[in-house]
Amino acid sequence: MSNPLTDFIFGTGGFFTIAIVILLFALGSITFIFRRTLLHMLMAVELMLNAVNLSLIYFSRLHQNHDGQILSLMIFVVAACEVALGIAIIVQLFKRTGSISVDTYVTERG
Amino acid sequence: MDFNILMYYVFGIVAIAGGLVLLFAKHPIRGAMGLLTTMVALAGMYAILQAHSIAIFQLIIYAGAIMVLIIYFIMLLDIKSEDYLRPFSKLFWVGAPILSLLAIFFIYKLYTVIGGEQDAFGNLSSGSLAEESPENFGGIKIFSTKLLTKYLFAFEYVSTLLFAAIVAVISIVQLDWKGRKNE
Repeated sequence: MSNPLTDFIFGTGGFFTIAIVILLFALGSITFIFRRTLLHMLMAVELMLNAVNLSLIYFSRLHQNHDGQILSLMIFVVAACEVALGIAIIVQLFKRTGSISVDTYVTERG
Repeated sequence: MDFNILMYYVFGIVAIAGGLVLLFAKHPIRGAMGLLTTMVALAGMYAILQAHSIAIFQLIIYAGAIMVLIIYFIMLLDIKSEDYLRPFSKLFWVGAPILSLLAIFFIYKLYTVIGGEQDAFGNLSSGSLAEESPENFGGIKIFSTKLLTKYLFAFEYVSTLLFAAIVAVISIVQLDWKGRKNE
């Protein structure tokens, strides 16, 4: 009645998936905090959104429910908006200072 | 071992490798390539998890549109190489091991609490979870039917968000650095 893939998803595959989610999210947050380049920080946010999407889709499959898939589609749209806005801001900052390093902007207070 | 299970492991490891490339690559174009690898690998994992529509959307929207936009702007900016001489913050060698240990601790706790048994995650699921998945789960027909009936408000609302983002981007790029409009 059950095939090996379903047994895998309900068993060790769940642990493997959640481990991947945790590792991807940790990599994204480390990149966001410790890289000093605006483009890397923007891409790190994308990586964290992808990690959350994977967990949503896994639990959607686990519970046989489409709600997680639809929520992940909404996250796609939010990520697209975020990239468009972030790229526009980065281009404006680059036109202003000629650099995309975060250290350039330490004087921008208040 | 089933071929799908083997590919699931391969895709997971490739996704982690892409994230590592994003973290350690000096130039943003290499980081973007690593992120692209992660996205394609995650699309494969979605397909194995029977989210076929989302896998296609992942390839079209993320790998096709968003990453092309990022790579296009990396090429457009033509950044001097001095920006990359010190790519990490000073606290990297202190903070990154702490965050990595935290992540490994989370995985360890996950394994000790629910990960060890044969049907560990199946016991978590509600309702008819232990049953065989229906063949059309995740297909485009049932997915779009649900999106356009039960979640119609969210669909329209997110389109409003897209429109607001377009207006915001136009208003940002019209201003120069003194806050005046370009001629």
